Amino acid sequence: MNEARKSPPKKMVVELEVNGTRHELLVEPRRTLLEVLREELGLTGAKEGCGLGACGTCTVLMDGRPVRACLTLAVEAQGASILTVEGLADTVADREPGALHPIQEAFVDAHGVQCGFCTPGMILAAKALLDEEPDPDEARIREALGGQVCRCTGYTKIVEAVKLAARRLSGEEVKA
Amino acid sequence: MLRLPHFAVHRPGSVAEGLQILAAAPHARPLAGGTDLLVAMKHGHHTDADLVSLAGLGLSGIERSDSTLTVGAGTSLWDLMRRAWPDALGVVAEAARAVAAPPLQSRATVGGNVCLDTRCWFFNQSAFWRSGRPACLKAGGDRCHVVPGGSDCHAVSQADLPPVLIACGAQAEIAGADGSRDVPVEGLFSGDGRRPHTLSSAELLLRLRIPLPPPGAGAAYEKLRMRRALDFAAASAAVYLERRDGGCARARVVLGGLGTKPLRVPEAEAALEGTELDPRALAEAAEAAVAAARPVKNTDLTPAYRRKMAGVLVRRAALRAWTRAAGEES
Repeated sequence: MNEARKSPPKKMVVELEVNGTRHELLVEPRRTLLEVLREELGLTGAKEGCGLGACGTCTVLMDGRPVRACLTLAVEAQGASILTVEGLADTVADREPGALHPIQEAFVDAHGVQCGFCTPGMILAAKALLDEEPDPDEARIREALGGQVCRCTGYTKIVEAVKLAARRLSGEEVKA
Repeated sequence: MLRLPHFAVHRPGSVAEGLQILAAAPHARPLAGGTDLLVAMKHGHHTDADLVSLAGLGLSGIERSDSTLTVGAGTSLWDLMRRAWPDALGVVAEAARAVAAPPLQSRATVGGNVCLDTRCWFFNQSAFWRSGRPACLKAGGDRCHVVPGGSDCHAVSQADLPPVLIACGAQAEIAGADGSRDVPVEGLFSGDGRRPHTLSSAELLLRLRIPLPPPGAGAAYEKLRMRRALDFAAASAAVYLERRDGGCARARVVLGGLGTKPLRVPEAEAALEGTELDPRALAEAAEAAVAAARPVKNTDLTPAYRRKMAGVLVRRAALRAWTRAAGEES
């Protein structure tokens, strides 16, 4: 047994910006970003599915890139800017109160949500893709969502939702 | 929630400081992206380890000189894929893209993929699952559940970058207490499934140096897996070729997912060199790959199928590399 294990190691200070709000937290080094988001900050949009990086429902954006919050230590996210699904709509400028983000609206309109457990991860993976490539083809959409597992809808409607979101985000008016 | 065990995280600000911590704490493990190590720890492996974060060592980035591309071990696969590569080295991005999925590529690093632990059905399982039978060789026990009665550990080397880096002739810069040394990437692998790398616990992989290929070079990577995302290689092949006057002047063929380390196949290389990659040369190279593969029943797909696919993957990769070497993307 390692010496350090006789008593839990000291907590560490972590500064995070989550959905635009700065936080200074004292966390155990073993805490994952997912545990801190859900249990310290009460942001339960990111889910734990497998806890092992394989299902994607814990996916959040860290400095704009999708990451597995269940495999990212909170202390390794020091100084990073995190976006969870709770903060997504607020990234839209001049949003009407209560309005969703266009990607969220597209998931609703294209019926890309069934049980909803994978949805926050799907939507954030889609946001990372569309921020980088506003007009992706279907192969790129499927690659970008390749790490996100859905057990309900069978992906077709999810892919359609991302296509719809891309068109709307590029300024096209597409009715539901 | 699947909790991690307690551990301390050290955050050295330089390579020298990192090496000091590793030398002083024999249980410490380097933490790069964590996408494999933290899974193993959630499964109850390495529970006595403290972690040494490599994030502050400044090991991220790619530099190009006249003869070499130098890739920092801390470079993420995400960045690797988005880099404009010289044509013949596009295969490096191709292999990075074949790793897991984007939210893992963003954290996973080049060094972490090169140092990826070997894998086995009986090892990469939860502590609860494993408690149903005695510990295997890789988990510190005295038996192999894959080859009963065997005294060797057959855990598979399933990382995607090592076959490609070996095929491209890359060197690894290793730092230890006595300074740094360069070794061919091939030399990083021990072939022992229990401890698959030749690095000591007090050493760090700092950089990879990939020689810039001459004109007329091409390379390709093929990966067999159950799903087109997330899965590790059940078999893979990297082929690097140099084309001169219409013939193959040089070939390097490396298999992944088919043994305890990436397998170089000199017989397949000899079968391709001096030919124009005619069907007979390709068939001989494929046969050599099948003969060199060492699959056992410890990952997805049957060993017989994986062995057969070694030949198919080498043929496919060789043909794509050949087309690329001729200056046409395939």
